[in-house]
Amino acid sequence: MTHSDETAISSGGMTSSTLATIVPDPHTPSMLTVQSITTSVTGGSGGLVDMADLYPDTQISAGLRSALAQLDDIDGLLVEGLGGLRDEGIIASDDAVQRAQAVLRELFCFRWLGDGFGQVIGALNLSLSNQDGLPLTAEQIGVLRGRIRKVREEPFLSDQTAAQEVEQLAEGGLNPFATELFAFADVGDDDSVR
Amino acid sequence: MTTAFVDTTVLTDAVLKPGPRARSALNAIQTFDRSELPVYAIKEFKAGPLSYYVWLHNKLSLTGSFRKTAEAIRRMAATPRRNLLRTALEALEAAANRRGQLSTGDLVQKYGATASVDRALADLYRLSLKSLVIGGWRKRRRVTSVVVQELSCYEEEDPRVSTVIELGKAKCNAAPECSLAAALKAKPEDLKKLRAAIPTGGRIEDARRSQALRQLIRRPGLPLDAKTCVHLGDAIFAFFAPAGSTILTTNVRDHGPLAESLGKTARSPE
Repeated sequence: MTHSDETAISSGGMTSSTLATIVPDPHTPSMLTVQSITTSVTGGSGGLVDMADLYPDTQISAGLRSALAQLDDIDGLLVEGLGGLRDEGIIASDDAVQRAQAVLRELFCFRWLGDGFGQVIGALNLSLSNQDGLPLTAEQIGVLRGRIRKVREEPFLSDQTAAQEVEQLAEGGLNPFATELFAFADVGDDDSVR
Repeated sequence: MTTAFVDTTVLTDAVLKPGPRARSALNAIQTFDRSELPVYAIKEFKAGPLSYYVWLHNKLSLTGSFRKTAEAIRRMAATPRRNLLRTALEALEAAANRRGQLSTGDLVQKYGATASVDRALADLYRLSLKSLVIGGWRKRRRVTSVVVQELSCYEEEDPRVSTVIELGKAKCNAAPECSLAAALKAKPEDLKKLRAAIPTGGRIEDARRSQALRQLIRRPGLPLDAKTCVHLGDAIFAFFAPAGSTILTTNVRDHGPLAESLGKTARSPE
């Protein structure tokens, strides 16, 4: 059973619409748990309002604001990386990506925001560390930016959506998985291993 | 027209090991005009490789610690016939040393225990497994041109994902018997050829398969239960692969003799 509740609030020319998808808790069937929350806000002029502005300081944790700010920082550095490839050369580009990687490590500390957030940020970290120092192409930077923008817009993304985002990284020529885990697919009893 | 009959090992490579292994599997499948995946492979996939990923995910989730998880696995790997688990753990620990750069002292100072290398590694691996399990399950029916031999006794229940992942039913509801039983029992001569092709090296897997085939041949009136169906394993692929098709598997050693006994072939993706 899945239940969805949509709430719309209008104030000061802005309309906020929040859709919560509620499912039974697998461990306690009598309880319900929120599977995903998506929020969109349309301003008086019809433009989208920034996620960070949705929550007054009293309602949002400082953590979410910090995480969103870091996502902006990373996106800026990736744009710099793209510009480097175009104008300054591969070293300038790689340096910008390395600085983005440092911020991504810090961003992983905000994985308490949700497993969807953690899946994507973890996969972005793995994508960069699995490059083993090889600079990114413009296409790969573009794929990274796409995922950063997705998490920026929807930090509370569901596990399923996050797994699709991770898949996008793989399809974009990156390796977003911890490949050392693959051996665990074959750990059945030695006698019956195929 | 060439046909590939895809087994569990190739399905596993294609959806649970993204990168070179998946590419190799998918490229091999695409060299055939038609490719078939029997639902029996999905059943084995869920009860085997997918369940091992889920087990490790849940271990990481419940301990919240890479070190504690490794210790728990090490204790399990100490039991007989657990060489593969030991090898997998060693590879994981070696790689974890490199992944440890994920966190640094200044991050621990700023964010506390969440940023500790032990906790960060546990979550990095747990979340990567979560992506693999969700993605692998979603893609399972997309690797071949068709999925064949739906099993009325087996329900493909979706995994339930939260703090831990629950795979749901992995076994059949083989009552009164396995839905493959009638087709198997209709060709006793093929069953005899398969049984004759099983090596006599003393492996438990071979002995169980031989016993299961013996029951089908000698006592066809006995219902084929879920456990016996599982023991048939590779013999199912050799039996049900279409005439003239190629069984695509990473385990040609086991599939080869069985397939050849019925005039079919087994080939590795590489």
